This record gives sequence, structure tokens and C-alpha cells, in this order.
Amino acid sequence: MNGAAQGASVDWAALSPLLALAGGALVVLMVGLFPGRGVRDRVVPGLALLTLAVTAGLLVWQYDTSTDLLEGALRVDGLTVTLSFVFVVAGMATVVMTWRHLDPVESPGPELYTLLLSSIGGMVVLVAAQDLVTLFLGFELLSIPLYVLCAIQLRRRGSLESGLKYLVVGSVGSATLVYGFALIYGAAGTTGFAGIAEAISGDLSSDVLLLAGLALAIVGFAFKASVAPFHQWTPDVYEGAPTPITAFMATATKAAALGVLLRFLDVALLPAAEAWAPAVAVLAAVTIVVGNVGALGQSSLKRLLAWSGVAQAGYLLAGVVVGTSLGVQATVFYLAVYLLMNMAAFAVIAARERETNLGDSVDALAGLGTSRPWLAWPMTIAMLALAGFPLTAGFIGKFKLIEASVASGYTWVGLMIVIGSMISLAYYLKVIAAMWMREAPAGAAAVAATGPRPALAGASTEAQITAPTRHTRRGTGELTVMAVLFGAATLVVGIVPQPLLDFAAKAGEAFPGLF
Amino acid sequence: MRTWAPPATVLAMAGAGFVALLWLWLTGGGEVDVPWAPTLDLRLHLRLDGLAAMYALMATGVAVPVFVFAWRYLPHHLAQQGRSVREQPRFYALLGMFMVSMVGLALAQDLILLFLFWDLTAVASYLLIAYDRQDGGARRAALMALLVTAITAVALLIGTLLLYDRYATFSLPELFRVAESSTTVTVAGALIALAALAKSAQVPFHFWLGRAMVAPTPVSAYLHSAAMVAAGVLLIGRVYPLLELSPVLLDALVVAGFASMLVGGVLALSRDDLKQVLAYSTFSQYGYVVFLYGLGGESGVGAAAFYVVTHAVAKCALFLTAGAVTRATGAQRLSELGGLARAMPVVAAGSLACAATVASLPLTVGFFADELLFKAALERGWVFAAMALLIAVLTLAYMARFWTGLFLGAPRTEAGPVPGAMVAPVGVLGAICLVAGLVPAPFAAIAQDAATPSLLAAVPVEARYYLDLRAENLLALATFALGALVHAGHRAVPAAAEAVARLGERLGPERAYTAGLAALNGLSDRVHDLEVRDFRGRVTAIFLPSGVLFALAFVLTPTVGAYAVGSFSLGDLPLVLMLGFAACVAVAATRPRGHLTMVLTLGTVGFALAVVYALLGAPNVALVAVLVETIVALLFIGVLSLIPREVLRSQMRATRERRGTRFRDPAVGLVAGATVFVLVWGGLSRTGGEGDAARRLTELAPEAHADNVVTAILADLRALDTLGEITVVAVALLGVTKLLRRGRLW
Repeated sequence: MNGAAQGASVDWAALSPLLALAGGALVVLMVGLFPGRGVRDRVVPGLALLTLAVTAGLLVWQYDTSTDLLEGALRVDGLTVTLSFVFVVAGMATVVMTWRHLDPVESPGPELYTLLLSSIGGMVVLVAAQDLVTLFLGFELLSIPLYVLCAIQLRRRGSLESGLKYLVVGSVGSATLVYGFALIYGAAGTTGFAGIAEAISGDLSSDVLLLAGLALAIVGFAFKASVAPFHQWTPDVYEGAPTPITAFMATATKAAALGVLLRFLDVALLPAAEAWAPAVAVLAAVTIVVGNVGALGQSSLKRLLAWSGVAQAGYLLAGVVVGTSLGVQATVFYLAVYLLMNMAAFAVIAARERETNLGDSVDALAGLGTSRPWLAWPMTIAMLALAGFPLTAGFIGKFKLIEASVASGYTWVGLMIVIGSMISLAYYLKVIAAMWMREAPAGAAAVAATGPRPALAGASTEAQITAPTRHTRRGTGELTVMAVLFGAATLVVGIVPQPLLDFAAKAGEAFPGLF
Repeated sequence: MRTWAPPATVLAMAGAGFVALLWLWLTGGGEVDVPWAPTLDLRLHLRLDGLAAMYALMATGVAVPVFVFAWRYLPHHLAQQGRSVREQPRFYALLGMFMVSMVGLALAQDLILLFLFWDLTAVASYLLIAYDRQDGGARRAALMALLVTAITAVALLIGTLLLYDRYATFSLPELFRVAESSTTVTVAGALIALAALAKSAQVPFHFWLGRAMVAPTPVSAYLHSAAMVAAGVLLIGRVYPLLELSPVLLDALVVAGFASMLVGGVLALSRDDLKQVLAYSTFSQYGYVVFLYGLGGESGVGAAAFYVVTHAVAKCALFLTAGAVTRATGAQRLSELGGLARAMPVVAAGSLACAATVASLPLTVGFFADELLFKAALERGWVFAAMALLIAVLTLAYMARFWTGLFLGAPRTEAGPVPGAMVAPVGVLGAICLVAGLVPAPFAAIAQDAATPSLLAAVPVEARYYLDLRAENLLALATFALGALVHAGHRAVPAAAEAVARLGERLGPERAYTAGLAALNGLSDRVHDLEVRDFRGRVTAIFLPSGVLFALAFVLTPTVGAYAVGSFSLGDLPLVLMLGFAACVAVAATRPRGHLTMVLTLGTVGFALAVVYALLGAPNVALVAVLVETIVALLFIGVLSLIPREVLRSQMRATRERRGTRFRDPAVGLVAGATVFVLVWGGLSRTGGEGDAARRLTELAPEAHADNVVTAILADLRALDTLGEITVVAVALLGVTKLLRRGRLW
């Protein structure tokens, strides 16, 4: 930060994706005020999609930008652009999934899309931030809409509970983070990443204030990325939140949290790497074990994916630990791949939630192989990819992470990834086996077409709400298309990985300081 | 779809593949090498060398009789289980997929590519073994096969990565060129060999093979004779130049091979189920191959290749025999069968030739296999020859038991008709064994070619009858004599074998597998229990690891000179008094009488600290602190007024009466307080640093047209952040509004 009082020049072009998101959020909110069901059901989601498409277009335009913005508060470079793509695609998928997902009476209305767009804006700010204050702003801008989004199905107790838990735990995380930042600022005397790095390479690398601040900041980030042992909120929140929101949290939030860790640790704190790298490596190992073991006993698909997400966060941390350009590329690549695999899986879960009354239980998938092959195949591919099977994108992603760890002397972290994948086979295969080897439970399917779902405990109004005829017409066409698209992408990237590898290499270029 | 279309398709695939591969092999092989993902150093490198040719020809060649057999077998199999014929295409699709991945595995010259096909065969075999999906036993067996082979496949991947770390290449020819004897190579080689042993169902991974026999017969015949299990020894042959660099690995192979031969032979003698006998025989026979690779040298490696190909042909026919016999009689146990030679002459003759091949009787191709084995063993010493002799005797004994038990003696069951398509494959394969027994040259040629890539040099493999008293012949004669003796004393021998098998079940590796799975599940349940504990406890639990990380910061910093004790002047007295007061109130806040008291005491701590700020010369901060404290206290009181008083009272009582927290919570508080104290002390002891930053900011304030530094920061220096903060607040407001408005039903 240099306190130049003259009017600063602003690089509007580089800032345009962020502006598009902010503007889109406002437009969506305003347009949503117009009366009429058509506006609410069609125009608003359409506008949200349009906003995201425009943002994507602007990102393509700014693909090769590498510049500091707003007095060095933000930096638009390879990492920002690539991860923003991930957020935007996740956002689009979420809009599509949300479109007909919630009950019409509690129809989400424009606020949902506004909140979603602001959250994406927060993510872009977060990964672009290179100043502690801006970073925290992005962090809050990303989190607060999510607290609300989790609770958006107000008449479902699970959704409210999920929102409340996320709020409580998330606030603890934010508080820890900001306390850590305060200590780092106290030690380094500046909030800019470059300044912090400079101060550390001076004589601060073993300063107690700095290291304590660093420890707290890592804890704060670990909450957001659901890294064990700070992951405990994840299964509850994932299970309770509406499925599209869970999908968004699982993919975009994870990408944002890992992205900011990359920039924070590999730019600002790189000179203190020997202090944080071993600690983060241990966290990664613990996360891999806890996540994979925790997932074994789950029978709810969303819980299972939550635990698997914990394990995957551990794999992803490996790319952060190594502190090399290869690690950055591996992390970004895996984040993109993770988006593809998870979106395919969540689309299938959402579709089955609409089609059966079994919710997100594994039972809802029984016999899917014969009854709905177009859903079963994407799910199979997604599960195999998450387990890291060859010929899927997941294999290439894990392979790249392992390669990055081995290349920088963290072979044991690579081993942990391999062992974790091995354990994970057991629960991913359980899902596949349910689809292909079990018969559909009698009478489970087609319930949605005949009548109300059973009222959930504590939500006596449920039956009245689900009764309206519109509810019975909620199709799953767009979800099937989405699942097939993401499943196919997972497979294609697994077979022809080079384009996506080049994309990830773009992120690696953002860190000229790394070798 | 017509029912003949799927089998015809895969059959055509297998036949065409076989012819094409044969032609390619005879014309000198072929090679494809294209970059796949250059950033990752991945290449699609396939080459049809001798080793690849042998396994690819086996995978396609053996597939032909198996698919013919399956054509008539499967409809009957499905009908028996009351399943629809529409499930047929899946079966053939999976078999086809398996065949293709097996050929790919044979051709792969790149370790990653190899791993890829390796896992593909594992998946295909999983789906094939679990083809009878309504059968829980089949599903469990399939899972076991998959877990054992896929988990050990991880060893292959790790070994690959170790080699890559050292030599920066995944390409096998490249590795053979640059690798030299070192610990890395030994470890990597051991890991790769481990994966291979598990795939070939060698000790101690053999238990999955026996279980996998629940699969439909064509699956067993194909996967467990020529394909899946062969993949393991294929891998050993493929990376043999690396294994050869460390003699200790070869010795380990000898031990593993011998143990497998022995255990497999004994178990095969003790089993009653036809397919089980064959499964353990397979396991024992692949033990031979591993043993031979372990013996090494030209004769060892050449014999290994020869063994693989003869075994594939013979064992496939024996599995098909078991299938045909079960189809005819409905029985699948040796104890229920007998005297079928008259009812099923072709099957009896064909399987006799094949059983003789496995048992290495003269006039069959198997004889040369044993000759080569004895030759290789004799080259290493008489101990090895004795080992070979022991195993050969066992093999002869269990093969004799199998065949005579089925076809000789008094008929015990009625034999129904068996379709020609199920009989012919056995006959044809039997004929091949016999013809090759007279003209072994083609088998020798392919084995010779197959040994070349393993030794990176041409190897002579000679298969001839020598009518003299050389040691090999003497050993063979001894085998026949002893084998006949063991078979003659067959009442006692199976009983002894049974006892050994029982012991193995009690203590064997399968138990470890089951226990491992159970332990993992138990651990998961434990995690689950933790997960569903009360939410408050969980939030608190988070502070423990945070504390550990925090404490690490102290461990990592030097203590010398970090903590300075400054001077104390009288002017500091109010400050110290105020801090003391704040501390006292904080202690008081831990002994609550009611919720309101708690809120007020906590508020007092806050106000006391605000005074401290004011005394330290930071009136702005003090003002903000007062404001925040007031708002928070009001909020708390507002919330408390909304909660029914009884609820509050019972909560308070419950908190006071809770056991176990009486000492824990104060202890946690003390540790946390002490840590923060040390941290603050350390921070205050620092010299320089933050003072400069603060001064610079203060100097900038007038330049920003602001009266004080806080205003300057908010409105000017970090104005954009303030804008962002306003956005955050706006978004939060939007969210809160939404929740509040929708919370009511209207």
C-alpha cells in the first residue's frame, strides 16, 4: 500500500469480470421485483445465467492479463482467471439445478440468484486479493450469502439447521482468520502480500507473532476448505443444505479456499515455507485419512460426498504444500476436474431427489443402471473419477498431484494420496454397486408423480406445501443433460487431458517466483 | 436384439484379433508411439514384441473356445436363475472389454499405460465375477478380488513413481537403458512384483482366487487360466530387466513361487468342488512360473514363458470340462461325480489330454514344460531340483485325482445331454495339447520370442524328447513313480491335505483381509459417533487442534532475547490497575449465576478493556470498543428476553451440574490464557517494526484531508475496502431480510 492521494487509474478491462458479476447481481435483484410468475421462474434465472455467461466471456477476453489492480489490492493473473472460470461454471450449473428444484411456494425468487452471484463475486475477489484486508472482504462476501443460501428452504428443518450450523462454525473460522491477520499485520507492519514477503525474508521468518498469526490464518482457511480436523461442519451442512447449494459449496467454495491458500502461502508467506509446509503437509495427511475413513460408513449420498470432499481437500493441499509451480498447476487442474466430477454426481442426486421419495440416500440409486442409464453412467463415471480410476479425469488429476509431491521431496504425501484413493474405492464402489447390482426397491420410483412426500419431523406444513399440482410436474430433463455433459467431460479430460493441462499451466504462470 | 448377435460379435472380435496379431507377429511385430499428455510425460506406447505377442495371442486365442462355450452355456445359466435373456449382451460386452484391456496390457510399453490397463482388467473382472448380481456371495467375492488386486495395483503405481522420480521417464525401454542397481530400483521392483503376485494370486494373496470361483464357468475359464491371473506374470516378464538388477528380488520370487506351488498343490488335493480344485491348481501353476522367473537365467525365463502358454491352453479346457460336467449332471463336487467317461467320451478324452499336460505326462506339450523346469532347477542346484520334484509330484497327484474322480469308477449321477458347442472346445483344446506334444516347435518358438524382451537378448527354448538317462528325464520318471504312489495312497493324502487347508483358513491371510476390513469399518463407525455428538462439543473440539498449531509457533521460534522485561513507572499504575480489574471480572464471568449476569460481566470486561485502550492513547479504538460492547450487550439482552425463562433456568442448571467439566474447562482456560500472555509478551518485546508503519500512516492522514488516521484509512487509503465492506453488509442485510420475511407463513 502506498498512500498516493492522487486519483488512481483503474484498469477497467481487467476489473470487468468482477463488475459484470456485481452489476448482474443488482439487475437480477431489481428485475425480480416485477410481478408475475414468468419473471420469477424464467427471466430471473435466465438473467443470472446471462450474467455468468458475460462474465465467462470477459474472462476469455482477459485470459492473458497479468496485472495489479486498485493499488495492488487485487491481482488479475492466470490463477484468478482460471479459478474464476471454475466459479462461473459452478455457478451456471447451480443456476440450472436450482431452476426447478425448490418448491414453488417457497420459490427462491430473485434473492437466491443475487446471493449466488455475490458469492461468486466474493470468490473472485478472494483469489485475486493480495492484501489481507481485501482478502478478508472477499472471504466475507463469499461466506455470508452462503449462510443464507444453506437456509433458503426455510420450511425444511434440515435446511435451517444447516444454515445455522454453517453460520456458527463459519463465524468461528472467520474470527480465527481475522485474528491471525491482525497478528501478521502486527509482525510485518503491512497488509500487502509483497510487503509481508519482503518483511519475512528480512528477519521475521521465526518471529513469534508472525508464526502465531500464520497458524491462526491457516486454521481459518482450513475451516473454509474443510480440512481435517476443522471439517466437522461439512457433513451436517452438506446434508441439510438444498442439493444445488451443496453442489455449489462443494465445488466453488473449495476452489476458492484452495485458490486463496495458494496465493497466500505461495506468495506472501513463501519465505516462511519451512515453517508452514510441514504443518500443512501433516494437515493434508490427517485430512486424507479422516475423510476417507469417515466416508466409509455413510448411507446418505450428500454426507458421503461431504466426507469424500474432505479427503479430496487433503489431496489438493498436497499441491499447496510443495510450493512449486508444478504444485499450483496440479491444484488448479484438480480443482477444475473436481468441479466436473462433483457436478455430475450432484446432478444425479438432485434428479433422484425429485424422482423418488428416498431423498439422497444410496437406496435412491438402486437399480438405476437398468431404469435410468443416462443417470447411471454419469454417476458411475463420476464415482470412478473421484476414486482416481484410469481413463477418467480424476486419475490424471491425482497423478499430477502425486507427481508434484514426489518432485519436491514430499513423497510421503504422495503415498498418502495413493493410500487414501485405495480406501476410497470401498465407498465409491458401494455407490456403483447400488446402481448396477441392486434392484430398485418396490414403489420407490414415481412417488413424486403421485402425491406429497411424507412430512419431515418438525415440519408439519410440509404436506401442504408439497401438495400443489405444480410440484408434481418437476421434471429432471435439464439435470440429465447436465449430468451427461459433466460425466462426458470427466471422461474426455481423462482421455485427452492436454487442453486442461494447458489451462492449469496458465495458473502456474501466475507465480513467477516459484520454480 | 437377436440373442446370437452379442456372442457372435465378441467371437468375431477374438478370432479377428487372433489372426491379426498372429500375422503381425509373424511379420515382425509393430509399434505405436504417440504423445498422450506431454506435460505429464505420458505416452501411448504400444509394441508387439515377443512377450506382448504371446499374451495377446493367448488372450484372443483362448477367448475363441471360451466364447463358443459361453454361447450355449449362458442362456441355460440365466434360465436357471430366472433371469432375462436381455442380460446377455452385458456379459459379452464385459468379456470383450476384458479381452481388449488384456491385449492392451500385453502391448503397453509405458508404466502408466500398463497401470491403466491393469486397472481396467480389474474393473472388468469385478463386474464379471459379480455377474450373478443377486448372489451376495458373488458380490463379496468380486469385491474381494477387486480390492486385493486394485489395492496392490497401488504398489505398482508407487513403484512407477519412485522410478520416475529417479529416472524421469515412464517408458520401459528407456528405463531398461538407464536403470542401474540401486535401492530405489530394488524398492520399486519389489512394489511392482508385489502387484504382480497379487494379480497372479500368489501367496499370500491367493485367497481371492478360490472365492472368485463363484463366477460363471466361462468367466473362470477365461479369466483364471489365460487372462487375469496371467497378467501378473506378464508384468513380471515385462519388468524383468529391472527385477534382475537386484538378486534379492529374484530370491524372493523363488520363495513366493515355491510357497504358492506348495500351498496351491496341497489345497488342490483337499478340495471337493471342481472349480476350487482347478482354482488352486492354477494358483500352484502360476507359482511354477514365478519360481522359474526367480531362478532366472536363460533356461528359467524361457521355461517360464513356455509354462504360461501350455498352462493357459490346458487349464482353460479343464475349466470348460468342469462346466460341461456340471451342465450334464447338475453336480459340481468330486464326491458326487464319477464314471462319466462312457457318457461323455469327447469331454473325457479332451480333458485327459489337458490333465496330462498339466501333470506333464509325455506325449503332451506339458512334458516339455516340466523338462524345462527341471533343467532350470538343476542349473541352480539340487535343492531347487528337489523342490521342483516335490511340486511336480503334487501336481500329478491332484490332476490324477481330478480326472479319475470325474471319469472313472462307478457312475454316481445321471448325465444329461450337453450341447455340442460346449463339448467341442474341450476336444479341440485337448487335441492342441496332444499335437503340440508331438510337434512342440510352435509353442517353443513363441516362448522363445516371449523370453527375449525379459532378458533383452535372444533365448533358445528347446522342446525335444531326449531318449537318454539325463537328469531331467530321471526326475520326470521319479515324478511319475512318486505321483502314482501318492495317488494310490489317496485316502490318507487328502485327509492330511484337508487338515493343512483347515489350518490355513484359521490362520491364513484371508483372516487378515477380513480383520482389516472389519477394523476399517469399526474406525468409520467411531468417526461417525464423534460426528453425531452435540454441536457445541464439536465447535469446542475445534479449538484443540488450533491450539496445537498455535503452540507450534512457539516451538519454532527462538526464546533467547525474545521476552524482555521493561521498566515500570508510576504513570503506568492506572493501566495496570485497569488490566487487573478486567482480569478479575473475567474470572468472575466463569462462575455464572444467570444468563443476564453473564452478559453483564462479559460486557464489563469489554468496557474495562476500552478504558485500557483510552489510557494507552488510542481514544478512537476505545470509542469503537465502547460502541461494540454496548451493541453486543443490548443484542444479548434482547435475545435473552425472547427465550422463555424456564428454558434459561434449566439450561443454567444443566451447565452447573454437568460432570467432567469442573477441572477441564478451567485447565483449558488457563492454558489458553498463558499462551496468549506469552504471545503478547513476545510481541511487546520486539524492537522496531510496527512503530514505523504506524508513523507512516499518521503522517499520511493530513495529506488525505482527514483529521485522524482512522478516518484517513477508512475514507481514503482503503476506501475501496470500505466500499467492499459496505457491499458485504448490504448482502448480509439482504440475506437477513429474506430469512425473516420468508420465515413467516403468508
